Amino acid sequence: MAYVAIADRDHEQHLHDPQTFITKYIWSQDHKVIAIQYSLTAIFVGLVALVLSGMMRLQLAFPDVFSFIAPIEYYQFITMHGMIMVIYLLTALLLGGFGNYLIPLMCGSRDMVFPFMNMLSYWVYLLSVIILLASFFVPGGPTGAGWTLYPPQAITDGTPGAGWGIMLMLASLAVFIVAFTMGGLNYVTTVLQARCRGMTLMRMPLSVWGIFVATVLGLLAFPALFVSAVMMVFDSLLGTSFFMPAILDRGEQTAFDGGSPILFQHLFWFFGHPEVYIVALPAFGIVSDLISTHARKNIFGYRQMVWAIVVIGGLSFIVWAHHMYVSGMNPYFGFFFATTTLIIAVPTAIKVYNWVLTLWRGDIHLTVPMLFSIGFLFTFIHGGLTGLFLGNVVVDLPLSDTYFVVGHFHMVMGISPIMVVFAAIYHWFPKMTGRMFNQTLGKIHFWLTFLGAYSIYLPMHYLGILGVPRRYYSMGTTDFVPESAQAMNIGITYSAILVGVVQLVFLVNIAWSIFRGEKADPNPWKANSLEWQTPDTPPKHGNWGPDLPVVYRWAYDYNVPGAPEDFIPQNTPPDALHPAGRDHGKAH
Amino acid sequence: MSLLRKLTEKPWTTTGQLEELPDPYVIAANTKRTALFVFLGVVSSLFFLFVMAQHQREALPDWQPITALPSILGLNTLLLIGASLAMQYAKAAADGGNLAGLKRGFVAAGLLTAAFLVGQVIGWQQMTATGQVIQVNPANAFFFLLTGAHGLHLVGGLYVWARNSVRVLRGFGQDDADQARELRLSVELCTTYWHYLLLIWLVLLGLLLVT
Ligand code: HEM
Ligand SMILES: [Cu+2]
Repeated sequence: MAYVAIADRDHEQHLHDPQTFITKYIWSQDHKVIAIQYSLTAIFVGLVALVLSGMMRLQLAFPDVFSFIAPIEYYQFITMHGMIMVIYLLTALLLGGFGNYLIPLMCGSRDMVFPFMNMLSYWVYLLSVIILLASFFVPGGPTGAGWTLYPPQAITDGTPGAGWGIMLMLASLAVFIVAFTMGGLNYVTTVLQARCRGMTLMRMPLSVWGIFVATVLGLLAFPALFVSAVMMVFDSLLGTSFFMPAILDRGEQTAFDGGSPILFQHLFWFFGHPEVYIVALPAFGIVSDLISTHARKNIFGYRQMVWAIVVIGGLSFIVWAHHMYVSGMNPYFGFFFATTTLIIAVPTAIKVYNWVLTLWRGDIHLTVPMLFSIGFLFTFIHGGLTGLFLGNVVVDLPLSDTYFVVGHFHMVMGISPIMVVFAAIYHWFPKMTGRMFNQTLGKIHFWLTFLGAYSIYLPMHYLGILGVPRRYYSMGTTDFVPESAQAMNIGITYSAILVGVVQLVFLVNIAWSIFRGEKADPNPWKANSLEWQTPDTPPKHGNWGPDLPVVYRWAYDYNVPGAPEDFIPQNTPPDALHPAGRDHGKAH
Repeated sequence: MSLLRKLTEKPWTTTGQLEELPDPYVIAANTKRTALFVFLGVVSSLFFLFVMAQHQREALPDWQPITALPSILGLNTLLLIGASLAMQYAKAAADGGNLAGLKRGFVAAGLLTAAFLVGQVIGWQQMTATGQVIQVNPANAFFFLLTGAHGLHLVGGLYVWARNSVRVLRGFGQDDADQARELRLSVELCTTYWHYLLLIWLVLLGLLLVT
């Protein structure tokens, strides 16, 4: 077993020490700087996607008021909003951002094992973002095919952006996948080979477990998106018929023949479902650590939590067709995929019980990170339960493509991971910057975001049950949708605008605190994991000063009876607590 | 400790226990090996999905097998097998400290691989010359797609090969054990990668022959 990073070999150390502003902050190979670069870029595109959603909501509430949102734009906004949120914000932020920041610090390494490739990963990611945003400025604008990019319509004239837009989208995705692979190789190898002495696999904090398994999922699932992107480019540019069936375009027979749009759906969802867990598993891991730390209690069922992450990751590869119940599949297939889908609920429920049981009789501190973590429990349980509805074929058929689905997935993979992202930013902000944020503003941010998001998405379930279809520019006059649905749409839009504006509170708080915030204690939450035990705050290049830490215990020794304080950092040797040496198990 | 034992450790009962650290060189070598294996996992996933896509597409009524595979594919396959063997030879030479053999094998492997790639391009030309272009039928499309994807992976391999051949040709001093070890590791990793891409090629070729 291996415990020292390659980067820890002495002669390499001084070579990599950054000297100038440029090597320190721009072409930096330091995982912490790369993490922050990833995060800032992701948050920036995330804000673009947020603005797009605001415009969609305006259109839905006031259908005839905004002349700059025609149906074409609406579809383009939907598509870019969905794709940016899922890939360029959440995946990049949770793995490129938090993965980069936390893995080396929590595992006690100096850096990622291949710092140069890690740096390249960020710059290639930035390139993918630029290509994506460039599609706003090309002839025809960005693609309006929906974030699922289904052919044939994605590359057929008549769909917005069927020429340039979709090609840039596919190119950007391919570039993103290259970036992710370079980062992912680093995350996985660092976890496997660069942990410090004493950091056994089962002593790793759950954040690392979640990020690790999510990265493995990404490495195996993103190739499916890559394959489908390449094949669609072939269909569009070279005239092959992988996905394109014989088709009439304005009365004329096109050259395509015999291709299978369903094949695309299989490939897309073979990526798309694991993608849900690529976003969810890091969130699961992080929230476990935050709940344990802020409730001053060891996580309930640590081993179950690890195994559940692994089992969920494995199962996520055999449920993809639950997104295709309406594609006319063989009923036995539907039965199979409904069964596997419901089986995933078991390890997921175990995790939920364990979070709640960790809180049970804990010494709960309602700090800002804890508020967001508890908020996550609500939204995640909510979204998980509606997922059980949609996992059943007979329930899904009528609800498919309605606002019920929009409500469901925003709860489970939109708002829930966002709650954790906020929790994590507030939690690690003092370590990243050495300063404290303003708690009051943080609490205002939480309550308005949490309640606001709930009042966006809860009513959507009701709209869905009424039959209001998803991806509609406006409802027009539709008999089965009552007038009151429009009133509800207006209410949802007000909440959405509120939630959007409230994010300014967050941005202001962060921006202000970076420069003017109170100096933070190196370990303000009195947490056990290694990142809080660094000699400097924020940690310097190389993280640990001259000597790597040595780990003697897991990360959850909170409120241990007989200990002098209510927490015992992972690098505290047993002798330091019990000079008499009463502790079982001695270092050897 | 086996993986199972590692994953069933009860971390709250093992407080204070520590393991011995292995030699830093072993760690560095294992790190690179791990990264290569993880990367090969990604490559496997990619080709598995390509192959599954072809498998599904085959089931549709308009599918016709390629009428005549380019005749050069047999020769190309021999070239790639040769490249793999040369790599293996280079690795054995490196392990035995035989610098001359290492140079011979490593350079030969790269040249044979380059020849394979040229051969593949000639194969493409043979196809298009007889009118079997990519649009004609889905089997052709998969032929170009899969050979192209495989070829690109070899081009990537050749890039690493080129960087290493500079070091191989420069060689290492008798007393520089560090450099020798590092070189041996690079050759070992190249060998693994080459064998794996040969395996993928054989699978793809098999599929081309049976469909
Ligand atoms: C306040 C925040 C948000 C608002 C107001 C919002 C609003 C919307 C709206 C109005 C739609 C279009 C529904 C339709 O017409 O069918 C949509 C679609 C979508 N949203 Fe969001 N959203 C928000 C955040 C997020 C987040 C954080 C994610 C991350 C997973 C996300 C992922 C998606 C996806 C994947 C779609 C589907 C796009 C498509 O149909 O192609 N959204 N959202
Ligand atoms: Cu799914």
